[in-house]
Amino acid sequence: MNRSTALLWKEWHEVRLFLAIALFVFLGLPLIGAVENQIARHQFLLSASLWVFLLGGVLAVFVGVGTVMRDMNGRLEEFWRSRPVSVTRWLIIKYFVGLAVVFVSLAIPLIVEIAVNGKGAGFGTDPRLILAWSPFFWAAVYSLSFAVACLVRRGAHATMVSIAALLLIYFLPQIIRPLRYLGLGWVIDESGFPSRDAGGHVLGMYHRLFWMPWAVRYRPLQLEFAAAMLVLCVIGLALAVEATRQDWRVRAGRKAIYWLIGSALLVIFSAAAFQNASNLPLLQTVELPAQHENDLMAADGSNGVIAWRNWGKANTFSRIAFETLRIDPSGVKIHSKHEVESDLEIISMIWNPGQPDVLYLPAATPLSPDVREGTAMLAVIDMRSGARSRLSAQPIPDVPKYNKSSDPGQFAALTLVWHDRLYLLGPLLTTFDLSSPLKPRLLPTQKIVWTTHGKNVQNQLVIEELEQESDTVTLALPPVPGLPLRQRLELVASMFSRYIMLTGDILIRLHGDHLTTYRLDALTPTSATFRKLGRYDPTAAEKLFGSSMERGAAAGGLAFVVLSDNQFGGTRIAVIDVSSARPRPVGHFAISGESYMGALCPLPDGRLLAVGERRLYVLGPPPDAN
Amino acid sequence: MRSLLWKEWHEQRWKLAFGSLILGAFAGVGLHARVIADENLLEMVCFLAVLLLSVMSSTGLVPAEREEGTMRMLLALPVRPSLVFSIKMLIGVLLCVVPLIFSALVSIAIAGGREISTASILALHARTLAATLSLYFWMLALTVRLPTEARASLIAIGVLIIWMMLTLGLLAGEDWHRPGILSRLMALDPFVFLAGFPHTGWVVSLALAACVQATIALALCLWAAWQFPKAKEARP
Repeated sequence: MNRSTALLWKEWHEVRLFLAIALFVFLGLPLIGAVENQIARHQFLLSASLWVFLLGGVLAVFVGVGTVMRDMNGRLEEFWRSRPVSVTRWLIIKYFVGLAVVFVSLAIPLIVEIAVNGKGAGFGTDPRLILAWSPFFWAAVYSLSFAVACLVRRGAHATMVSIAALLLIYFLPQIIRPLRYLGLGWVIDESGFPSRDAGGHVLGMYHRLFWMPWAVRYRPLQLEFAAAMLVLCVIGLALAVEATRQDWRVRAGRKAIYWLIGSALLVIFSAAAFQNASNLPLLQTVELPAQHENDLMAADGSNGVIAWRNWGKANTFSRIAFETLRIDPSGVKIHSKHEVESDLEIISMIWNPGQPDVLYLPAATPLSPDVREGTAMLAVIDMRSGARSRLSAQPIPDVPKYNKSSDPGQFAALTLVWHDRLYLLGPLLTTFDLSSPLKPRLLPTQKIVWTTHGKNVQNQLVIEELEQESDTVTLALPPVPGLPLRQRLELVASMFSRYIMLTGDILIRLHGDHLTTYRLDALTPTSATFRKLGRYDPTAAEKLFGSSMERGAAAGGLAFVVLSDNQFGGTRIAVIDVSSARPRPVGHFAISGESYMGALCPLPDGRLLAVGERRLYVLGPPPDAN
Repeated sequence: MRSLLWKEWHEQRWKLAFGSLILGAFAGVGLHARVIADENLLEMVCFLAVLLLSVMSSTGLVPAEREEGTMRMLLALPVRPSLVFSIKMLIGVLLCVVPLIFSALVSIAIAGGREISTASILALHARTLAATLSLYFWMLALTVRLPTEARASLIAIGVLIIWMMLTLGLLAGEDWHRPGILSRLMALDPFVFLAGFPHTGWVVSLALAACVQATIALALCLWAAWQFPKAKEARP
C-alpha cells in the first residue's frame, strides 16, 4: 500500500460516518415518507430533492469543517506533521475524499428520486436541474469551509464562519444585480425555463449539458456560474494548503464570531434593503372616509374622482360614494363629496377627464336570487349638484339581458371614452354620443366580427400567447368604426386593466411572481403585434419583503405595481422602469397599516395617487427614474 | 466596587457596542431605505432585539467567567459574592437597555413622526425592553451554574424557544384579547408586552402583567443569587 492509498484508506474510514448520516437524512427519511405515502395514497413518490436543495450547502459546511478538524487538533496535528508524508498530499487527499462524500451523499438521493418518480416528479425544483448545477455550489461551499477550518482550527467557530460564507455565496448574487449570473437560483431557472420562440421552440442559443445523462439545457452565460464556483474551489484549496503548510492561524474568538455573523447578516439586509430601490417621496396624505373596496380612482393632471360602492339596505351594494378631486402642483384637495342611493347592479365606473363632474356606470336592473337577469342600463351621475347629486339611468334595449353569474360584464366587457363617444363592447358594440354629457344618446347598436387566429373572439378574450409568455403576441383589434387604431388597442387593454397595462408602445403583463414586457411591433386595422422585450423577476430579498404582483398602472415608461404577500404586514408599491429590455426597479413605497391598496393613478407630472383603505397617498416621482 | 464595575465594563463593553450597532444599523438601514412600512420594520428590529440581547447579555456573565477559569479568582477577592453577582446582573441589564435606547434614538432621528409618532416608537421600544429583561432574568437564573458560555447559550436559546412556543399556543386561543383566563395566563409570559393587551381594560392588564413579571424577575434574581458560587468555592 503506497502512501496515497494509505491516506485514502484513513480518510475514507474517518469520513464515512458523514456519508452514512447524510444518506440516512437525505435518502432514508424521504424513503420512509414515500412508504407512508404509499400506504396513505397508494403512490410511491420520493421527495429527496427538496431536502438536498435546502440542506446540501449545510452538509458541505459540516463535511468541510469536520474533515479538517479531526486532524488539525493539537497533538494529532503534530503527529501527522512528524510523519514522512507531504502536508500538501495529505491535505489534498483529505480535500478530495471529503468532496466525494459530499457529492455522493447528495447525488445518490437525487438519482434515486429521478429513477423512482420518473417524469411525474413534482416536488419543487426538478432533481435533474439540481444535479446539473448544485454540485458546483456545494463544491465551492465545501472548499471555503475547508479553508476556513484550516485557518481557524476551532470547529464551532469555523462552522459559523462557513455558514456566513454559505449565506453570502447563495444570497449575494440574488441581491446584487451584477452578480445575478453567479446565482444558483438563476442558473437552475434558466435551464428549467429556457426562452422560446413564437412557435414554442427553445431558442438556438441553448445547448444540451454534456455532463448530464438527461436532457438539461443551458446557455453559454450559465457557464459563468460554473466557472466562478470552480474558481472559489481553487482559491479555497490553495488557501487551505498554504495555511496548513505555513501554519497560519486566525484567532477567531467569541468577539470575532459575533462581529462576523452580525456583519454578514447586516450586509445581506443592507443590500436587500437598498436593492429595493429608493423610496418614493410621500408628498401628501388625504384622509378618506372608511369605505369598502375602492371601485374607481381616475385623474388627469387637474381633476379626479374616487368612488366606492357601499353596503346599504338588504345587504346589497346600494350606496355609491364618490369624492371629486382638484389637483394642482401644490397638492390634491377633496373638492366635493357625494353619495347616491341606487339598487342598480353596477358593472363598472367610467370617468371622462373632459367632463370631470360626470360619472358613467354601465349597470343592470336589480338582481336577486330570484331574478338572475337584468336589463342593461347606462347610469349617469351628475356630480356638479353637490349633496343633491343624482343618478339617472337609461336602458340599452338592443343588447342581451345581463346575467351576473354566467358572464360578468358581458355587454360592457371593454369600455372606452374617446372624444364625445362612449364605447361599450361585448357581443355587440354599444356607442353613446356624449355631446350632452348628462344625457348620453344611444347610437345604433352594431354587431362586430372580431377574430384572432381565425377564431371569433367576441368578449371571450383569452390571450393565450400572453399567458404562455411567447416571444410574439398578437392582439386582435375589434373593428370599431370611427375609432383610431391606438384607441382600439387601449379598448382591448381596458378589459385587463389591472394586470395588462399599456404605456406608450410597451405592453406589461403581470404574472403574480414576475412581469413580462412587450414592445409594439406592428399595428394593423385588425391586430396589434407585440414582441417580447424583457422580464423582471423579483429577487429573493424582494420576495421576502413582499412580491406578489397583484395589479398596477403604467405611465411614462414606468409600471406601478401593488405588491402583497408581505411577510411583515402592510402593502408595498414597486415602480419598475419598463422602457428598456431589462426592466429594473426604480422606486418603491411601503404603506404603513394598509392591508389593502385600492387603485393607483399616475399623473402626467410624474406624481402617483394611491388609494388605501382610509387614505389617499400623493407620492412624488422616483428620484432615479431617469 | 468601582474596580469590579470597571472590570465588567471592560469585558462586556464590546457587547454593548455590538448590540447597539447591530440594532441601530438594522433600524437605520431599514428606515432609510423604507423597504417596508416603518411600523413593521421597527417591530422586526424589536423582535431581533429580544432574541439577541436576552441571550447575549445573560450567557456571557457567569458561565464565561467559569469557562475562562477566572471565577475562582473573582470569588477570592475581598468582596461579598452577592456584590459580584449584583454588579454582573446590573451590567447585564445595561446590555439590554443601552442598545434599545440607541435603536430608539436612531429610529426617532430617521422616522420619528413620519409614519408612526415618536411616542409610539418609544412605547414599542419600552415594551421590547420589558420583554427582553423578563427573558434575561429567566436565562440568567437558568444558566448561572453552567460551566461554559456555549452550553449557557444553548440553554438560553431553549428558554427562548419554549417561551415562544408557549406564546404561540396562548395566542392561538380564541378571544384572548378579551379579559379572561387566557389573557390572565398571558401575564406570566415574558412576551406579553409585545403581544399586546385586551382592547378593553388594557391599563389593568398592563399593570397586572408588569406586577407579575416584576415578581417573577425578582424571584428569578433571588434564585440566581442563591445559585451563584459562594466564596468557599474559591478554595481549591
